[in-house]
Amino acid sequence: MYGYGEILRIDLSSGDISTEPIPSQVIRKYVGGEGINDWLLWQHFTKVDPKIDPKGPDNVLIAGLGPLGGTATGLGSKMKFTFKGPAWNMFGDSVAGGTFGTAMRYAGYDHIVVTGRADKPVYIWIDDDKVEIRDASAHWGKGVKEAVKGIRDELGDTDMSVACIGQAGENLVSYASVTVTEERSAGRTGAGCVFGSKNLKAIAARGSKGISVSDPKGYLEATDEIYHRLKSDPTHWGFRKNGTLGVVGFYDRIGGNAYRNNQFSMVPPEKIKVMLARWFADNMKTHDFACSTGCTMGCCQICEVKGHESPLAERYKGLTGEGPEYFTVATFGMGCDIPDYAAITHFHHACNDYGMDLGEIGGAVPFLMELWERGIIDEEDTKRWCGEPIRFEWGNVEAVEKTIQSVGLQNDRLGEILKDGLVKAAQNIMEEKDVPVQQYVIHGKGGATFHEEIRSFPIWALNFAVASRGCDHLKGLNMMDKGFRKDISKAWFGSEKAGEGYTPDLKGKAAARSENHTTAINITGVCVFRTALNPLNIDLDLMARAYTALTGIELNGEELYLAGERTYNLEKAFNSRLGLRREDDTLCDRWMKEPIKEGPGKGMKAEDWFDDLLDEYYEYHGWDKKTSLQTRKKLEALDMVDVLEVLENEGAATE
Amino acid sequence: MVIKVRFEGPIKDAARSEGEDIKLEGTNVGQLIGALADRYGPRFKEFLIDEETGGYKEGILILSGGRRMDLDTELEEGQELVFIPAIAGG
Repeated sequence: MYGYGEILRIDLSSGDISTEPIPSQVIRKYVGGEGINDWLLWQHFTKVDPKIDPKGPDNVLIAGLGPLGGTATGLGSKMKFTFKGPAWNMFGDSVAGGTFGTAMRYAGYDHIVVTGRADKPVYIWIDDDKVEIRDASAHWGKGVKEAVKGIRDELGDTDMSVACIGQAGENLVSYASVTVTEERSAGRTGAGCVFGSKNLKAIAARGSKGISVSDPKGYLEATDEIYHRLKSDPTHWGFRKNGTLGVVGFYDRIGGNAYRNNQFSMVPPEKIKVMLARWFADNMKTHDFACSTGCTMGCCQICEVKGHESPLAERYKGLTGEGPEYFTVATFGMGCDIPDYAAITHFHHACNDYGMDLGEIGGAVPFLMELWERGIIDEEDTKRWCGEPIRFEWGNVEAVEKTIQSVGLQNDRLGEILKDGLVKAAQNIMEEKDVPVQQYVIHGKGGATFHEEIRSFPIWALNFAVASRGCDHLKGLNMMDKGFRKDISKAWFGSEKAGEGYTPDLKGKAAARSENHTTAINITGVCVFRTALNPLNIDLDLMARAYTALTGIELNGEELYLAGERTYNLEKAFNSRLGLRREDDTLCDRWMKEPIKEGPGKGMKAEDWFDDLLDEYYEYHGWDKKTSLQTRKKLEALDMVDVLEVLENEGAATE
Repeated sequence: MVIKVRFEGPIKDAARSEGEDIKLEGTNVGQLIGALADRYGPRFKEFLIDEETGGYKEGILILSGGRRMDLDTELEEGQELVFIPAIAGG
């Protein structure tokens, strides 16, 4: 079949390995990537109780890359890991660039389904048709870089693509990540923990088969159109110049940053100045870098710490590799008040090497620092927790260093407190201290994330409250209210209101449609950073044209959108089976009740508009407003009667 | 009147300037862009304005006090405007 590979199944309990084609009717409904990953997850949990412990052997780990991933489409390649998420005990998936997904596809496999649990540490080695489960004892206990080097040395290929966990995954930290060749992190929701729970250290892949194209001429015409449209887009050049670091300055202008555990939304000017993309480019950046196959943008940035650039640079002298993303700057630079790119880059690398989600740790450390500021925890506590009287003062790099190490190695009480995420950590501390601390926890839907000011941007706030994988900005990535994109709002809704800043108007509909649209992109296997952020530039019709030329399967933009909507509904259905309802789609007290103290969004707080927008959001999705459950009418319209039957049997759908 | 303009990201490259205080004959943002195009050349205007529609190109933002300024927005003496592309991500 043009443009598609097979499904590879590996059972680590029995050692059985098999392959099968992707059923054509499944391709029609879910296209690929996230869509077929979700279908495989759904199939697994029709045979296995979805309420299982996600850290147990009955969970499933699915790796997949969509049909446009690994090709020359020009929009990059983003693979997905999909599983029941141990971080927040709901649907889980996590995305990464790098070359692993491409290597997997070039070996002939679009999706890998790993079940069971090995009785000792192993890694999977895929070399075209040869698939082996190999002993990983020599690599267990090691950080990602050392383990990947060991695996590559053992297999005699220094360039091989490897998806690998660090110590955090081995130690079953619920938000452990998978680091992919070698600095791209599948960070969110605990893919690394699922690896660890299966005694799976890594998957290494090498492929030589390439991807067949149905209509090479039509495909090249479509990719040429994509390239020229990208070139005409000013925001593309912004992204290309600075990557996500450009967000620092933009958010500073619109009150979109979050400072010191989001107590504030404006960072002091002297601190923002040294966190701007320009500072990084002038002082640390060596060159641009494209993280994945087929990317024509190259928004990653390689850097070197020479030792004199910043107050803390000497400590990290010699550090080289990928620079941080906005995510890391927001976490450590703003959240912990460490405005120093050398330190921020070091922490970025440390989290990737131990293999833990920067988002969850990015919620945890600023939280501990606020508790310290308020006198709720002190040196006696930290000495008891980690043997040293660490001071969690704002800006203390020692506190961040110790926290990352403790979480990764799980060798002290501090690590244990933080092992199952921020919300559980707060419960642990409340039990120990007998003092309420929940009001300082920044979370959405029970999970932590990096901080940005969302109270003044209701679409983003809703994203954080409702995303199928928990607190998240990527499931419904969009620029309508944050970027004041009246043009997108007009094109999608016939009204500019969703593009008007600092108002709730139309923002519920915009959040819902953004989820379907972003998912439609994710099922094709390309990166969302240009496609979702500027959907008027690279529209779904153009992506569908490239898909049709690649695969020979007729598809238009509307059908691609529907497949995205269907996929998102599958994720929703998974969570409904677990008992998640409207009351779970929520935001923390600070975001709901505390008004913004300064900046353009001053005075805004989520409780003023949250319930009305949630109604609008469910309504647009065609879900029941009272319960949030999917309706028979909607699932029938999406040709998801098989899903409807499962839900109705469990009382998890409405009429 | 005098308007303070500041350029960010690729708009700075298009203008080959960080920004400046500019004396403006007109009264609104569209007229300001016309004056800036005379100063920085047609490449600057091409980067900001869609030739077909006459509106902003997708994602181009002109902000004042964190709020978007449309082409017909009236300006005030001494107002500071930031020219910036709208991006997000993490």
